[in-house]
Amino acid sequence: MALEVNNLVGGYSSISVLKDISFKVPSNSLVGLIGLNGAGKSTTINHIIGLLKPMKGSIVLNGVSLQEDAGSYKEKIAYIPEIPVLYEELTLKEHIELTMMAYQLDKKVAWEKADRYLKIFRLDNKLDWFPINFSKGMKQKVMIVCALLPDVDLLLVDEPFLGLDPLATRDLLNLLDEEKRAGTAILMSTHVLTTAQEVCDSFVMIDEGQMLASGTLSDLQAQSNQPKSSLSDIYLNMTDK
Amino acid sequence: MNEIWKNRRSSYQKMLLKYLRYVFNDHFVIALLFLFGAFGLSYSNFLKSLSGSENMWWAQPAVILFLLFILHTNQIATFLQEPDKVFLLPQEHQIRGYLKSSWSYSTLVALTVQVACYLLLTPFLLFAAKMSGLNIILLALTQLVLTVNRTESQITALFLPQKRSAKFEAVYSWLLPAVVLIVSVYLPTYIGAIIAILMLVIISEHDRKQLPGAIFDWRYAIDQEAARLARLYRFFNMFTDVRTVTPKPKRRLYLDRFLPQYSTDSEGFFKYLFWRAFVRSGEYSNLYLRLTLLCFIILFFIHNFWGALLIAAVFIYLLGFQLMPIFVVYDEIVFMHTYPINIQKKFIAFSKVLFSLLFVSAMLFFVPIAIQGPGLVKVLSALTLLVAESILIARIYSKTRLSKMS
Repeated sequence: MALEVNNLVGGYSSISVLKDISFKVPSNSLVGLIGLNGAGKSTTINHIIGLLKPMKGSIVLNGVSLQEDAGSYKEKIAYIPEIPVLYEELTLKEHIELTMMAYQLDKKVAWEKADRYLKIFRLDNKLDWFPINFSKGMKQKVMIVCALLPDVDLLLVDEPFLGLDPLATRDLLNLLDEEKRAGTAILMSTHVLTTAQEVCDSFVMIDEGQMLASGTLSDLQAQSNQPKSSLSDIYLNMTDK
Repeated sequence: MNEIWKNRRSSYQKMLLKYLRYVFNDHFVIALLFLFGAFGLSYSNFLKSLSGSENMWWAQPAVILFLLFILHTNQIATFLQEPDKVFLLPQEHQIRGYLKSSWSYSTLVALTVQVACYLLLTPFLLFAAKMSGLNIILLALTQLVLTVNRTESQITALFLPQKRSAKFEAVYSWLLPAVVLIVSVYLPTYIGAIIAILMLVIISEHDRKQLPGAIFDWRYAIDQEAARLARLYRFFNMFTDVRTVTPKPKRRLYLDRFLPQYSTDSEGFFKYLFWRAFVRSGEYSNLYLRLTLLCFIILFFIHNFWGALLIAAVFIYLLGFQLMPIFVVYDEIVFMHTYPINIQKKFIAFSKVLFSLLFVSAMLFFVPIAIQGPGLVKVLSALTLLVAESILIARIYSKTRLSKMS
């Protein structure tokens, strides 16, 4: 079991947004974190990456929690944010180099990996560009390339499908699959339920900060007594909307 | 559109007023009074010292350069904002009316500035350049016509892309005015005035033919206005905190070789970031260069050893103070919190970067102080004091200052 979130209560200030969230993300699997806008998906992820402190409950990654050992916890995670954030004064090449520096990667090996990803996302001729010249999709691709460079135990992907063209979406999904097979646990938040249904191994459904259900599609179908229903139908039924 | 323009002008003027209050705070007003008095006194002494001398060949070129320079101090204010290209797009057919208001406003401001500067120059024209009263008025007229011409071409450039090229800029806003001014100063002045008026008429006639079909370039106009405001804010920023306007980063490829390279420890990570932020974001390196250069030049004119040392020390403090924000420049970026880096090294890296910069300035300030030959003991103590101050600011002062900031 790679990531374990137990009875997490948390939020931005004293008011808790998340109320008692528990789920697991096993190694070699892609788990979809499903919810509407404002359901608490990003808040959950912000807790896992350590931007927010849990008020109650625990977040443990392969036996290590952020509170116990921030250094080795952070070495094991990588994050693709929903809204791309880049260093305005750094070129694409320097963003990649900086990621390598942060994770203390071997430069030669990491560059071989980076070159491959850059080619896939057709960024290999833009190494000297500044973020200001990138479109939103390109910025998101940079986020993806950087996040895939280190070998991590847990990859967090926040709403990746907005802003990517169909080709890039396909390439991203292929790469996520590749990472998964290599042993990484992946938690991906999204509200694009049709895609989620196709690619995720299991799901965690939240609404208004509360757990609705979790499990594989057939688990969810059984729980909600809706055999053969789609993920989207199940979710909308559960939220009564 | 007219309503929008009026609203924006009044909120712009309110903004100016708000910041000017900070600029002209009590201490500064007193300092300014002294400075102004000192300037007036030395200007009149300077003119008196000139009145005896015969060979005044440099007075005319000085006049030309001064007038050419102040001609370029003005820029049209359109008050356009980034969202306008979406929200005002349906009103595009009315943009010409809007720009007309902005042209008259900007021209009025520009003419006022020109008149004020010209009045300052008038005694010099009388006593140094030895011009007659009539010619001084004619030259003033010429300068005002050139000013109108310049604001007009700035407005038409919003429609006509050919007016934005560096070549056009060089010819029409530098070369031609320079020629007009040279003619006015060296030949009978009315010839210059006539050329200036002819130039204005011909160019505006030419523009009038081209404009009707031309398309308003929102992006260029918005960028120009943003750049103008950024310059203004940067000025105000010297006196108070201004909501940040971030200038576009520049690559400055030639400086790449001096930047820190790949390194796997956290100190190297932060140095990598801080140096790049400093060199490429226009904000810090420009400020650093300007302040350093300014002090470097001032020091050559200060012949009192202790006075010079005090000024150098004040500038090093100012530099350190202004460079502090580099520490937090990337704090908003989520990866600064998720990457497995040792945050303890951040301050160490920052203080080393800051020290290197202050040390370079200190060395530069030391040159003019040493050149004045105050004796070995004084030279060595100046060197020690400046370096010690740099260390203190980079290591100790910055720590308390930054803990207040965050």
